[in-house]
Amino acid sequence: MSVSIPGLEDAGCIMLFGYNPAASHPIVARRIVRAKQKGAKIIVIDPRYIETARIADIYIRINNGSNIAFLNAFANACVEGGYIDKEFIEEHTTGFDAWYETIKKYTPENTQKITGVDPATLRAAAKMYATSETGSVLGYGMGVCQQLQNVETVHTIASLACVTHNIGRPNSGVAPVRGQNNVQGSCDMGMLPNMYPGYQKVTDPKVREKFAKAWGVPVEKLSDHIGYRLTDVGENAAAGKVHAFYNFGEDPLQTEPDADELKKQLQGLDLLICQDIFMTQTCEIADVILPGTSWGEHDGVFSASDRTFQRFTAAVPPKGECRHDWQIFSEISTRMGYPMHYENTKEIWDEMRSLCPNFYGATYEKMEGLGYAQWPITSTDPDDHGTPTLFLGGTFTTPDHKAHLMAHDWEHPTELPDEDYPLILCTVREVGHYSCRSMTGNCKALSVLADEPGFIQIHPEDAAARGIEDGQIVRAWSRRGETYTRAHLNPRINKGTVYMTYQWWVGKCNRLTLHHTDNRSHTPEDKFSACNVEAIADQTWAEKHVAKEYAELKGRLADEAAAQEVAPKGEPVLA
Amino acid sequence: MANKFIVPDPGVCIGCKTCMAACLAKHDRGGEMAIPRLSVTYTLTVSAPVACHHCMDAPCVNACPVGALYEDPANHRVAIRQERCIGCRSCVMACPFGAVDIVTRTEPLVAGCEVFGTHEKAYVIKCDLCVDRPEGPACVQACLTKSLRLMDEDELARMQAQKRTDAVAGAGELSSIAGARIA
Amino acid sequence: MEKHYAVCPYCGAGCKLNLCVEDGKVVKAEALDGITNQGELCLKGLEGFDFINDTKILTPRITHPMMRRTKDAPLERVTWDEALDFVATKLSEIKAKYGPDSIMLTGSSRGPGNEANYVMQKFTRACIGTNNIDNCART
Repeated sequence: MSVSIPGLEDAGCIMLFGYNPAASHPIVARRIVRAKQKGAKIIVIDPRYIETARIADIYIRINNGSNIAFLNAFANACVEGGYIDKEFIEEHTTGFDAWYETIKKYTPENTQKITGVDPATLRAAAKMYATSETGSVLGYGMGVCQQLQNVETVHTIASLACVTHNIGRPNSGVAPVRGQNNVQGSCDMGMLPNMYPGYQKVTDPKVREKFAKAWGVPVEKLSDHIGYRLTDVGENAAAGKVHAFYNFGEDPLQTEPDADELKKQLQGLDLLICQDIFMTQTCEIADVILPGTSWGEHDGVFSASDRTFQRFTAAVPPKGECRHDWQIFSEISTRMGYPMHYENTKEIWDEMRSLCPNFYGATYEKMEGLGYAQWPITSTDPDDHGTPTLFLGGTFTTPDHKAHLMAHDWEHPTELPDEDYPLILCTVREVGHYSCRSMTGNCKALSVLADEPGFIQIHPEDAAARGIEDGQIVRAWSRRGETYTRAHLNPRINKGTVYMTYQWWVGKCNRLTLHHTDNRSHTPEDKFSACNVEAIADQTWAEKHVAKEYAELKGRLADEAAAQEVAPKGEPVLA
Repeated sequence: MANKFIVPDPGVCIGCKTCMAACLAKHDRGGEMAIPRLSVTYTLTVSAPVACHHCMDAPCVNACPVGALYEDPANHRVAIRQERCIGCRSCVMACPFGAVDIVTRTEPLVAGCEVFGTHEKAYVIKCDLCVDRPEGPACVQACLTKSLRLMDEDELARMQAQKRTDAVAGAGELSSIAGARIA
Repeated sequence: MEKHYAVCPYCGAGCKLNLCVEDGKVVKAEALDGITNQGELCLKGLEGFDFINDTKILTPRITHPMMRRTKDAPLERVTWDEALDFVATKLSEIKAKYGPDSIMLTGSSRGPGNEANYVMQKFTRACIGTNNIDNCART
């Protein structure tokens, strides 16, 4: 996020594009309610009439898969209406003419067939967003990122913010809100195939030299090329490129697309290591399972979505033989000939800070109790809490410090609906559950509020055409697989599309989703594939069937985990 | 003193069900049923939780043939005597808000110190205003947009007074006497 | 009741809370006045702590190292030394046979925190010698 979460309240206008904060981040939705109470204008653009649409000044129902066409027309309306800031464009951006060459082809009128949006409403929204005196924030989420043209859409959003000067000044910017508590942190820490910690490129020889020196390894030992992406692990395993997969605290068989195919691919690996706190579906097929400590049992720092580092502390001792994750990595590394040893998380954090100039000022002392540090933060001055808003004054992180405007042509999604698979499938979030559900599914209140086989949201007219009633178990299937889940008739969604929350193990939407990733970010196109849904006449059978599947799955995982109750026999494995 | 009740501000509600989770957790102890006593309800344009209104002339109390539901003026509410409930569901039918439910649980059939078997015991599930909770209703405290509030006689009177003031604000325009429109 | 400050392990909003402990067990989460959450929590922050206590509602906690002696063998509890030796030996063998880029690692964007991830990527780059490390930012 170029803006901070608290700062959202003071924006003059908040435009949400493919982002449903009430389900993904209720605390962010709260800030938007408060912004509205303070007089902000709210624009919501989404195929669903989401909670925030209820308080929106303008709501636009956009067709699934039409993001680039819509945003190009939106930018076109901004130029045509005279809402762009020519001075800012001149001084702080490059490439306007080439950008406009593409944008001018997309008018509100000629894109209406693709987007389904009335030109007058689009123009009104463009005016509202672009002309807010206080400043506008453009919030987006997975509705942008899990599409075929995800990177292109992010380029287009950033360019739109630049030409209307809704970035580079207070109370304005772009707000991609991260889904998991520490996705921002994983990226900050260099859990990326192209970046060292602090967003320092692996392909930069100077960066490699710095890290080689700090880590005491010859620089030739550090790989000079970009590594593989997680979303390609299945294909790489099948192609014989990857032989071992060390899976730390993730459950790809629940969260990645086309789960049945991925399972086969991972089963073919020479070695699958899972380091986790729960017996997940991925742990079930692992060769080795290493018990890490849980949140609540260790100390550390998380990075919130708005770049805020905050400390968390251990409340209870580790269960059983669980060890801290960093201890486990250090011990394996030592055994493999590269000794690592740390006494505590502060020692690790301080080493990291010394290598990342943008994080250097985030000391543990500053983050004691309710303290925080928002990067970039270079000063260790206890009163300096960092940078709530990025790019103030229009200075960007490019070599020429200017924003490079980018526009792209619209392409249709990969798998369009057809006669056999007439419905669009889009994956969404369950408000009371999280990620693969291994954590929230083990919490009593949250599991009572929503449980298997999960839900498929379907428009009442699509349901009526199939004889489906609210609350009934239905069968949903695609070219990849099938699943049984519960119909939720929802008049707030658009006709022709069904929405499945991705937290369910029995009603698993990733049996259906298409595994297609884009070339740049390698993100799966989870928001668009084709499927069909049908009613099941015998609901008694259906209820029993899903209950049985659920009981069997839980029983299987409990049986696998039961192995840990039997003390080791003492025979060395490697003998 | 009139009964109290919990009311939502639907404009501010974000439909997140935090109230339901807090309610469930509050009641998940001392043998109570782990079920939320209010339920967030969605229409095309409105999201808001629905809970017992603790009516002053409560249809559920009137409909209950065994006195399992009763007026509890000391606590300004409609209260429950679970031991009397026979699960007839008259209250479920009588409640105009759909805010009362009956749930059964298998329990041992005991006489003295002897267990004779099991039976299905019925329970009335509805808002009890968390009268045993010093901080007040769990849902009101948990609501992160401050959409929920506990309405009592004073609050209701303030609201009425404000509405009367708003209603009369433009009435000067209707005056037959010149000059009376000065606000 | 002991209280330990924490940051919610669910969405990216960064809500500050106290974990309240009684008899060695987390029994309650209470909102703190953090910079992003201002004393408020959503249902996950408020009621999403009891998984720590191994409730076994969905699936059990893993509390001991386990492994399979062969691909088809059932899981078996082993000592830490055995598990760590096995992992180190197997990874070294695979690296020697197919090169460092034949090993893929993924970090955790959930409960472990930044320090654990920093150490894992250091292990990946300095010890294994590959940039094959990623996280779940895409799903």
